[in-house]
Amino acid sequence: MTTPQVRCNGKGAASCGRRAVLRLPTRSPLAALCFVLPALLAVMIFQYGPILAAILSSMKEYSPAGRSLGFVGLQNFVDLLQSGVFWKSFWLTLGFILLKVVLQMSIGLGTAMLLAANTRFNRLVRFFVFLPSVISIVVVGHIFVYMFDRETGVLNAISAAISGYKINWFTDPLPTQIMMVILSLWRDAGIVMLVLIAGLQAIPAQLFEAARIDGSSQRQLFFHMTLPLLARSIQFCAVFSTLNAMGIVPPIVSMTKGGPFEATNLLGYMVYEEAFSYFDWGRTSALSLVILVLMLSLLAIEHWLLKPRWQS
Amino acid sequence: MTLTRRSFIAGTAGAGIAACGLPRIVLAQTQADLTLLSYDDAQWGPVWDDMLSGFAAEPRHGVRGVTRRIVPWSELDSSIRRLGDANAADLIIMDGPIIATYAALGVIRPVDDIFPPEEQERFVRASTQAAVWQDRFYGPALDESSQGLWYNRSILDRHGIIPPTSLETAWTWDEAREVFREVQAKERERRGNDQFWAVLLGQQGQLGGGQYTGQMMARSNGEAGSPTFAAISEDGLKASGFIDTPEAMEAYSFIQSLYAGEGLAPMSGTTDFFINEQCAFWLAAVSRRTEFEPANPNLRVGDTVSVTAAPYFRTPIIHTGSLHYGVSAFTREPERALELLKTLAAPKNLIRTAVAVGDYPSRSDLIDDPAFKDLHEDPLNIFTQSMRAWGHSRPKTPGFSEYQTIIDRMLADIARGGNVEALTRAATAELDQRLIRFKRYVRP
Repeated sequence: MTTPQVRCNGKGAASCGRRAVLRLPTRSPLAALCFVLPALLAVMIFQYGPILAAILSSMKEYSPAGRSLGFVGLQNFVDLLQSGVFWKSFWLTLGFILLKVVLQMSIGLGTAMLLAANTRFNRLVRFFVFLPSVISIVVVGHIFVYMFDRETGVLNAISAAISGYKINWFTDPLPTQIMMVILSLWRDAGIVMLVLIAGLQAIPAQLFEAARIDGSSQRQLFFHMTLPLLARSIQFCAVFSTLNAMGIVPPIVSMTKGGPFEATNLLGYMVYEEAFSYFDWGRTSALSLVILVLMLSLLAIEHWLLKPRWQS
Repeated sequence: MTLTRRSFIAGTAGAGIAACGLPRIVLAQTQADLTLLSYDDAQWGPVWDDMLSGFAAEPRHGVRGVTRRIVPWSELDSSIRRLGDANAADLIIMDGPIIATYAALGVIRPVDDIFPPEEQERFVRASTQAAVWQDRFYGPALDESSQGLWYNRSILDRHGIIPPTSLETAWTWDEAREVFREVQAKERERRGNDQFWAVLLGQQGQLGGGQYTGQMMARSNGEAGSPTFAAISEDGLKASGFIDTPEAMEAYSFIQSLYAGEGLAPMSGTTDFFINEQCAFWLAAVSRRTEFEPANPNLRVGDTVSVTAAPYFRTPIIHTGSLHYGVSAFTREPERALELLKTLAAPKNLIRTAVAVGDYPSRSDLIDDPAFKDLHEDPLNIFTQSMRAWGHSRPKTPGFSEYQTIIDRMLADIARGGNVEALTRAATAELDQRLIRFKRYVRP
């Protein structure tokens, strides 16, 4: 630890007419700990406290009124892992996240490259792409109901007028799953685009210029310069997309309730249902911890896959 | 004085601290002796507030005030379950079908000491059915609902269709389906498009009518007293043998025929079709008129809109619905809480709460009150007759939240065209497994 001092052209602080500088009395680790302790406590209590509480809850049985009935060990996990509904939901969630992240990154990168230049038109388009990100997720759900409803939706009105055919949004599994992916992509496209545009604009133009002089093709520029130099931004966007994919519970609650035929019964919605329809806090906590492990694993894999080469 | 960043931050922090302190001061000034846990209801809210302040204003009750704690409707159930010594409310508003859950879990206390059997008999049968769990009475209803088949008379007149006007001549579901086919075909032909449907089932937008309306249809396919009619075991812990009988599955298949089979009901989660005159019939509660009349000036009960009795298969039945007052088991003021309960359940107050939402009063002897004159006149009197003769509370189980969630989902997937038998078996197995959890709360 260094003692803070004010440099004043070689003179002391008092002689250059400024207030005396606060000096730490010692370099004692105890003093340092005192400064760090409040923040440390806040992190421990508010970030790790709930996880510890969930670990404890997951090993208990609860009454439907939420009162603890005692320890049951790992029984909640065993019940969960033996449940066919859980495994169906697990693979569904994994598939949804993978599809969402890949598509989100591709679309985000494409729009970022198209709109990176700071023209008036691009700024306007960026505003409209970003707009869904600031709309409440519940409102987004309602908008999608009006757009996709089988009988009254705008999309089916157009589809029926053109082809005489209505798509079974909300009633057949595949169209409903496609709709949920579209909703999730549409909602996050703006933030991913902005982060990637910022990343693109931070790459010095001279690098591209030098590469072009050396005879690099557009393809080589993209794969050997743009992508590696965007690695940090892409890594951030992948993490952001993964977390948001798991958080897509409110539109499921308001639109599909996990259906049709459990086609949108993602793990996040399962937690909601266990907690607020079945009031089973033990299973809810166990499921939450499984999701935590899944998310940490996915984020670790993403971190490893997208790590910039110079960090290897 | 110049505004520096330091003074700005200090000022903002000071204002924040002051704002945090303000509610405490206000709270201290209005500190109440009693609390009613309720939800945010635009129609009932002002009525409750008025009744509570009236109660507090009478010195003989010895209370400084009654606070109405308001939670969103979707959180009312979990808020009641969480009641405890640290989270006490004295009185609560509770939905009829979930009373068995709260009673079994011990979060509400029986009130049959102030509502003895002769007093309970004054209430509408179905509302008392809902409020009794294992022979104890847990709270009077503040309203009572009834279901019927609303219809757009203008549309039906156009095609010369005259629905039955009494319970004795009510349609069976097969007869009703014939009419549905006819009116849909003729009206679509007249309109030249397919944006018209014969019937809308239920009022919450659930495909298949949900547990409230769809399951009522399935129950009617059993003889009175049969497992199909009961739809749950007597102890409320077993669904197999009750919701998966051949008669119940036959009814589920009929529901499917209305949706995926013949497209007579819209495959949509919205309920605007009747209001938009895109639907000829709507199987729903009497209070729905307060929704469609203000929304569409063309729809006037007794003029362009009328109602016929709910169709049935074998045994006529309608699910009623009621909200109830209950007393928390954790109240610190049990005597005053009971006093408030008696006041809220007084005849004049029950009339006020029923009138506010266009429902029936919960007491049978109040139904003939002049305040409900329109409910005794044609065509709404069909709701009155249905409630009296066919009204039943929903299947009683301490796991009602589980029951409703699983039945709603099963009926929706059946309406979408899923395999009836497979979906019923899966729902039954899941329900049985979920209800086992309540075994320890049910007296053998």
